[in-house]
Amino acid sequence: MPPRKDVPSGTLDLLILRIVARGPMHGWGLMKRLSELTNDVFQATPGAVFPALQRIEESGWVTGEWGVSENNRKARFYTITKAGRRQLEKEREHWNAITAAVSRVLEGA
Amino acid sequence: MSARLSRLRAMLRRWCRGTSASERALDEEIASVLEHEIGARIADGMSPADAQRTARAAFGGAEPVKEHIREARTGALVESVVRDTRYAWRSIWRSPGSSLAVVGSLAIGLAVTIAAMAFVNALMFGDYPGVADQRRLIEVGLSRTAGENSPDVVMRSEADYLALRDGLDGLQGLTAFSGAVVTAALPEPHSLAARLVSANYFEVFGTRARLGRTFTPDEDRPTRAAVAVISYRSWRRDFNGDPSAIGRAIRVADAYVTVVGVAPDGFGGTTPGLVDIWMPMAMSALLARDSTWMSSPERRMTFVGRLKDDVSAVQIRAAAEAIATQRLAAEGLSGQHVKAATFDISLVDPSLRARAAWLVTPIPVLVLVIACVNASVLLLARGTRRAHELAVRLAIGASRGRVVRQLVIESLALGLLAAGVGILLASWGLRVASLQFFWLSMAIDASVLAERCS
Repeated sequence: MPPRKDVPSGTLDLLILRIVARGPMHGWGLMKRLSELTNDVFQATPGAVFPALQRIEESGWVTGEWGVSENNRKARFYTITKAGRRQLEKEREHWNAITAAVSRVLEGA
Repeated sequence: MSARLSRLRAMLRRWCRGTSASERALDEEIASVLEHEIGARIADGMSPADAQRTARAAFGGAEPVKEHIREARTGALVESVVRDTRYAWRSIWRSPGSSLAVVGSLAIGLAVTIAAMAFVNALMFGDYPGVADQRRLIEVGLSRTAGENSPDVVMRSEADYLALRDGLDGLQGLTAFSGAVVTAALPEPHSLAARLVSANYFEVFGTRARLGRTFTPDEDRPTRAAVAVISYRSWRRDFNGDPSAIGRAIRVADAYVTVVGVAPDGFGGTTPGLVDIWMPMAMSALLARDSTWMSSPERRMTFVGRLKDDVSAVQIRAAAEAIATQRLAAEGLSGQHVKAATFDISLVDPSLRARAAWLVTPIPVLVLVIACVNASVLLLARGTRRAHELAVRLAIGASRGRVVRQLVIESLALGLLAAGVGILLASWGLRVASLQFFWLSMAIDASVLAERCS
């Protein structure tokens, strides 16, 4: 399922990049982490996370490799690339600019 | 590397490896996530069976998830259209009877329309075969009369031609030709429709030899060797299409004539398809020994000229009258009234073209409409029979959009198939028709086709 309507599109990419930036992570772990960190505001279902993850991988921002997870199961681990870090910075700035602008309006009006 | 380039590379890599590899990876990824989820639930104290069931429920089914991931791939649209096309192809073959009926009905309608349009196009709007920019060609006729009650005398002698050719500077060129039937030994005797032409004949018509060459400017002088250009049809019929016909000497009337060229298919100057052989005017003397038509003092010549870009037929008429009057006066024939006329070189009078087109086109179009109605009824019947299949596709998670796209692609595939068959049928029909109307260049015009397709 896609994320809830009230979550701005593209934010999911930003969050995934941010989580992966801390260290390699497999798909399920990423989903769990996302739910935890956002208090389930984001519906971190496979139908939402994996299409985004795939887009990010195709863009060359993360690389995926099969490995064995902490509880001895086969899993695909995603590692951020240099281009991914640059993209993360870009999206972070973009996000900051937007939220700053929105809150200025909300508080100023 | 930019993200876009990287996505493109990922897409190409996936297509090169084939879809089954990426499908396998997708299955493994989903399975891995499900296992982790089940493991986590067991660790939380659920029974394995409950863990499995609830995990699957939470994920909402593997197929829709996989479909989401597939749709997020770069080039996913192309992939799914390819899948839909394959499926459409299979479903067309599954009911060959009704597919054949739809394709056949549409193809016949299209073929009739395409062929009719090509025919009308060639008949009314096309240049004669081998003739370039026919609109700029005009025939010039001259006549003189001594007064109200004296008869008109047509002026078409060699002297008239030379005066007009050298005097009419509104023309890019003026050619003169006269017709005759000659006997040629090939080696069996044949009657050939001949044209005795000024050397610039092919130049004025804008015609290049299909094989060999046309006449050189000095070849209408009597001292030159006797040469001839033969028609494409005569070349195929009398020379078996042998390229070595060029340079061969044939006997025409009493003279030996060397074939120097083959005219383009269907070319016949102002009379498309009706000429077998062209020879320079200067050769009339050679041929005259045999025939009587040459002995008439005023050889019946036709004058055809090519207008310069900014010159109108009216200007040419005025100039021709002035030139002829002057020439007559110089010969001591004063008091003559000269009249010039010009004619378009065209099968259908240009003023009638539009009206004729309006009259002819609705008929094939009506045939096409009937064919379309027929095909749509057949498709509708097929749709009713497939209601079950569509319901199943919707039930296993296909979105409405996907199902509609699937059906549109299927209809498109049928339509393209029909168009292909229709074009084949039309070109075959035109080939048969061109046996009768060999002088029309009835190729399926791309512009006509585009009109059909839209």
